[in-house]
Amino acid sequence: MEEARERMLIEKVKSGDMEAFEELLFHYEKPIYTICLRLLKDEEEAMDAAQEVALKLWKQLHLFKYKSKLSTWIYRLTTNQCLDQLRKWKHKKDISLFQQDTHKKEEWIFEKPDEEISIEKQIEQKELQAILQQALMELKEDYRTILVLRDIQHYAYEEIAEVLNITLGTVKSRLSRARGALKKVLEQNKEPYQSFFRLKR
Amino acid sequence: MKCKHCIERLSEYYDNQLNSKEQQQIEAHLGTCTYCQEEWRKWKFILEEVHHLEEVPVPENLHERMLAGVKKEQSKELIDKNHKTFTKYWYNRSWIKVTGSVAAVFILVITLSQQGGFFRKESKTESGVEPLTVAPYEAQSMITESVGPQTRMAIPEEQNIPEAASAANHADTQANQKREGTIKQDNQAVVEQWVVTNKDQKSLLETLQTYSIEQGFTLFMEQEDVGTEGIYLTGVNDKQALKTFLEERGAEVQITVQEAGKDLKLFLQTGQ
Repeated sequence: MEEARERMLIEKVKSGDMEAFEELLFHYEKPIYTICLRLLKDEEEAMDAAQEVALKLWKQLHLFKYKSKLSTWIYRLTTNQCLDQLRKWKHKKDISLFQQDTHKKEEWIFEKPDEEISIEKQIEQKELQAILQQALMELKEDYRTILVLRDIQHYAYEEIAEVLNITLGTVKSRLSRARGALKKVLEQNKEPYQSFFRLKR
Repeated sequence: MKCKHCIERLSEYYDNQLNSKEQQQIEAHLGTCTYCQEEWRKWKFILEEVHHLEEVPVPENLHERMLAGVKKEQSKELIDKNHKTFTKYWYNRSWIKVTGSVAAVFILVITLSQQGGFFRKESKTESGVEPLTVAPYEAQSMITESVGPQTRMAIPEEQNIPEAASAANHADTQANQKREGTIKQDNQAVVEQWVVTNKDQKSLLETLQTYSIEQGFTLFMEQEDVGTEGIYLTGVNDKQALKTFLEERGAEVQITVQEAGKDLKLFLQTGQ
């Protein structure tokens, strides 16, 4: 969305224009939901978080003063919402997606189904994703967040620095450690990780 | 370049964050070191797979579900806004601000009954009492501050209720920015109510009027039912202080309905 249009929509939302808000929401809802799902793993929790983010966006947009990009502001809202939810439920043990929710794997439908890929391949892909998601959940929240923002959402280092309110140097070092940690998790000699490197696209 | 140094840089190398010199060093090392080559291969494999995690199963009704809470909130905000508009309108329709003595109230009643309830604008009389005029509604902004003990009536100007509403709403919108407030779920105009028992209602009322000016809150007397001693107060910042004030003047104050907020309805009754 071009900046001028976005600015116009923001001003309209500030004066209570729901139609303008809906247009903004269309633009950001998928990345918001994606971040929530990857940070929280559970679809229901992710939806709860996404709904909270939408509500906060509506209620707090009047505080937005164009000091950063709107996207940065929204993603900061999103990551903070997820981190808040995670901290609330920290006493709960992480449910293993692989071990306990195996039926959920079948519900994961890729958006770009490639008919040329065999069924076997498709299952392999789903397994890879499931394993990766579980590995992500084993990481501490700071690492998981920065991986989601960089390697899933592809945000620039500068934007990540703004979203997380850290320096560029911290982004680089934290990302490096997060990726290293993810690799360590995936290299563990236990299921489901043992099969990770064998499964290939 | 040592392996440890190379591996530490792989993350930045992957994102093209290294300067050209460092980049060349990494590439040169990767060209010769099989251990680091394997590490690099794993890095790429993992991160390429992580990229694919962007492909999430998005629920079909994501937009509607995210919007549902927002629309509910918008309805609440609109109801609250209308509730406040209605309340102010209702107050202003039925109540007249009294900034002078009680006598002014009786004069008003006589004037109105003579006019048969029909209001029209008139100029000031010599006594300084301005007869009530015009429309049954008045805007909040028209209520003037009282100056001294002179008996006055607020003269409402002709205004349409939407203007009045918008004038009231403007302040409300500012207040509502914080989205706080005691919004009653049932949208009723519930107000804290006190029964004030005292010997000399006239005197107490006079004192209360003076006190209201000092404290900066507004006092309304019911136009149609003068004699029931129902008095509305709005903008009372310190209700406890008011209660103490009344009690110090010999009144007995009983809180019959307790509510948050700065509005109060007092029922004066005579007693010992």
